[in-house]
Amino acid sequence: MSPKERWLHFIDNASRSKLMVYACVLGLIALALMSWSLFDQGWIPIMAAMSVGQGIGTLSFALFLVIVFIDLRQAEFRPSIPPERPKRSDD
Amino acid sequence: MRFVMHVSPLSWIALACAVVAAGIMVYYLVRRPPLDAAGKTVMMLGVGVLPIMVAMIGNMEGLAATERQGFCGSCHTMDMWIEDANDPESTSLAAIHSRTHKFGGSSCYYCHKDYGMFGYAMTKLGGMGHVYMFLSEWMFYDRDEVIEKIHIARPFKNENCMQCHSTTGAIWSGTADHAGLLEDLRSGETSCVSAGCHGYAHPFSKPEDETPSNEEVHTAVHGNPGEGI
Repeated sequence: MSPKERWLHFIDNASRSKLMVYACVLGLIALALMSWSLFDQGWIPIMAAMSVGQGIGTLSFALFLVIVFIDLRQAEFRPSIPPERPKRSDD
Repeated sequence: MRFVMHVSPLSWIALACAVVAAGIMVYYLVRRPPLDAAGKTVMMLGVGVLPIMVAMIGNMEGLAATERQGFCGSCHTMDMWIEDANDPESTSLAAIHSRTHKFGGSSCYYCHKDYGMFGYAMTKLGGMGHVYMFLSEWMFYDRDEVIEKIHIARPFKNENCMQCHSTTGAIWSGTADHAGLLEDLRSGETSCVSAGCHGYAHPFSKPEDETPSNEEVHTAVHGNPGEGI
């Protein structure tokens, strides 16, 4: 299975709610790290926030974007412009 | 490592964003609301917009914090340098410069930073090197080993002194030694500090026979010993 096929298989079978749970857990960890650095400005909290914290936060947001992508793939789009009425055939 | 606290109004805004974002995420984890359009809009705030604001403010505050003495002093290896810089009785160059209102609280950064076009980035890269050295080696040193084994990576540039002491002022030029050595000082041929007239910026870290006494420094600067600097 090629990486693209694997990705599409994942997208078609992934549970959105489970992905959102992962996104929330990762987001909470990232927020904790980033908030720590706001109040303790030693080198460990600042470097942790600006590397690990932001990395985990980015991953959390990426998971949310995957959910949006899944929704977009499964959505049925209706054309916004109504189809033209069939022209009356000339009598 | 020690606790270094400096909370600005921006930090409180970031904390408020973090609390709201955490509230949204915890609500989702506990109640599992449907991920319809409204649910996703709220989650976009909780997982995207608000944490991104926290990260942006965190970056601004974090980078600003890396300029402060407290950040440099958050490694135990820097204890003696910070103690000397903040000692009101000390007459070392570091202590004198740390007492200025303009940049005293960030004196480490202002004296040691790279003033070139990419100076900020280069200074931060140098700092990353310090972090690597600290984690791999320096963190196991005691105070004696710190003095003995940790040294400035390259000679201190006169350019850094000249960011403030422009070498063009009347008082500065009025000193005979400055006037005589003007070109050498500007080119870096003769150092302002260390073996130059003003001695070491952190004299406690150098052998005593290489360190001029307060009187000698005062004589070199003012030609009038005994009045203190």
